[in-house]
Amino acid sequence: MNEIQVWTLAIVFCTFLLYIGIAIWSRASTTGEFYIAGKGVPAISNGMATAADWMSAASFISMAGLIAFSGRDGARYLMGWTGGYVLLALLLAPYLRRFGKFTVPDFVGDRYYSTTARLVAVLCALFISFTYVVGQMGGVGIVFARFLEIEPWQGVVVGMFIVFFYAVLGGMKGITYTQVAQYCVLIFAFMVPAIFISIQFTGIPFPQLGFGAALTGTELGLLEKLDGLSEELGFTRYTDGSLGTVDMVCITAALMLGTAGLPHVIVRFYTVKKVSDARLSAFYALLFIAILYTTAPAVAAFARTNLLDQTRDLAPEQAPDWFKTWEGIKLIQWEDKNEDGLIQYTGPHAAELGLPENELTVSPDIMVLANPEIAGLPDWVVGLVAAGALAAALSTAAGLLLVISTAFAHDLVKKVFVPDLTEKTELFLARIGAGAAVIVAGWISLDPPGFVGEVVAFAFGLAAASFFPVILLGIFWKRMNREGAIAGMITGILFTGTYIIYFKIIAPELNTTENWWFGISPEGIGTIGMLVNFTFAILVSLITPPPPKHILKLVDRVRLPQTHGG
Amino acid sequence: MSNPSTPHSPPSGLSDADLAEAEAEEIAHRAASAYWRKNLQAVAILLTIWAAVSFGCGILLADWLNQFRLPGTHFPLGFWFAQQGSMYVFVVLILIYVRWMSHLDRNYHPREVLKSALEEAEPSTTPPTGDDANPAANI
Repeated sequence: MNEIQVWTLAIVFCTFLLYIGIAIWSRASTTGEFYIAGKGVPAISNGMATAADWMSAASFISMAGLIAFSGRDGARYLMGWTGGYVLLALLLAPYLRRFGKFTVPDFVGDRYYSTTARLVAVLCALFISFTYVVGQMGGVGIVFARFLEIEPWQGVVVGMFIVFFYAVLGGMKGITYTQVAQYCVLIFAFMVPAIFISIQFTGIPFPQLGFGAALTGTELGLLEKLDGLSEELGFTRYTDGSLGTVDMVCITAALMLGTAGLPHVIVRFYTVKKVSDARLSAFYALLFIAILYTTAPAVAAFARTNLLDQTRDLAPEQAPDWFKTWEGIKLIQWEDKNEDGLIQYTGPHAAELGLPENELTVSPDIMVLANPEIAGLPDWVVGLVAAGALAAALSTAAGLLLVISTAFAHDLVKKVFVPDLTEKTELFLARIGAGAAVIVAGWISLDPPGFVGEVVAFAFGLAAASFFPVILLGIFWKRMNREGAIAGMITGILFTGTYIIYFKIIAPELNTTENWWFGISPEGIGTIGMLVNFTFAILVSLITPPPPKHILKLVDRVRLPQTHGG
Repeated sequence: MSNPSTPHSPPSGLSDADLAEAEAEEIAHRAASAYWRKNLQAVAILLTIWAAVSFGCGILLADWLNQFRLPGTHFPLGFWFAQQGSMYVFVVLILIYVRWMSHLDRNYHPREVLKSALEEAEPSTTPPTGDDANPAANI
């Protein structure tokens, strides 16, 4: 074992001990505690837990890498995921909290007075959460594969055991406090290397400012250097966009609306005592999220500069250690196309500039993990980043598994099939559901269609297309009825799902701009799916009978100032 | 309020208490709609800023804004909005919303609403409750 592995194992072991300790200490004993922590979590802790819950392996491992490879267009993830929070805080969270039920399917089922609507919502929630868990499991697999030097499937199996242990035994109360700890671990792990590298490049300890500053001892800005390097090697300038504007708008909107509709994030707002706390915890959550999200583009710019600098006309035998390690597990691939024995990393405009064809493929998923090594930071930092990545992946996976188990035991079995289920059996079923979900998600994640970030982006698209319109209309439009909700959800998710499955699984070779509708990629199609959902929901509502009186009263109640209803 | 402020004599079958209750309900109802309108207004204003910063400055105008630099830094302005500025604005927007809504919640608290409704209805007559009859008594 080398230094890096020893540090990684030690740090990961300590953090896991901490999480497991917390999970045991706060084990849930009632369904109330299991699902929503008995509504007894302070706003600031809830904000931290929400941040950990929501910043997944995609945010931690994948996002900075995706930004590094797409330049300014990477902002779709930044604005998409944080902007969605604004929608959530302003349009959904306070009302759902006032409504006071456990889950999104509960809201849909009651607001639309229909078991069918509830059933459709449960299936959507299960499907979305499941897609998302698969992405997390993939992330865990990459981390373990790299640092334990085991096969990715073995990494996934290790991750499955740990997630299962505390998500399934702890329930929401355990998860909330574990997630607070995980937030601290992940943000520390993300910030330390970023600060180090920012000082290396510009002498400024704040990465958010550092990547817009001049390089140490020169007048040249880091971004100007990066723009220049990119142009020289045939890439688009880093600060320019290369995606079509329509596609960029659609992807950003899909991520925003998806964030707002994600069941495992919405359920978070039920864990605070009052509506005003729900608003406040949305603020804290975004604040804590923004710390990582404003740092990520800095990490991306630094990593990109290092990558372009260090791989230029490199002889493979002189390649740095990090290059060899990641090449060993096939996340960096080099093929000597022009047989000159050197590595050439060039962009799509290489031919116009008379440069050789690109020979290097680097998976975006490794950028954050490899970043400390690339920058030559101490070994313990590398280990810390691994622990942070695991914290991010596991906290999200646990939150999602909880939604899955709740949807299964509470919304599906209890509300639809066996109404007189005892609390004990329900809790047992919830655990069985979570366990089954871990196993299946782990198994699927061994061969996911795309990178971690992409897989997660699809979950957002599906959430945007299914939940967002029915929750929004349910609160803001009284005329919205059962038939409209069901029609909207079904058409939205079918449309979006079909488009994604067609381009990603059935005919991946056709997945290019020319074949897309209006130039919208599968990542952005959730926005159109959402419009389809809205259209069908409104039209069908208008031609079918209005909702009954007690539903109108219910809507009035969720709209009241907090002192009326709770 | 046990002492109805309405001058009409009660129709047969309805006691004073019933009428008072109906009136209180009416006031609460009006307050709730006013609260809801204010709420929608707040959300509309904040979301307009939200869209202008993200979709506006961060995407649609980004290329044009890139010809400028964020003063004192090497950030092209469009790039900065896309990767930094929009997120700072989002955080501030939620903070404003939190404050705005707790302000509304206080002003449209049922006790506040009833109090101001009473003051409007009978500015000169004896107030029915000791609560707001003598402000000094509350100190």
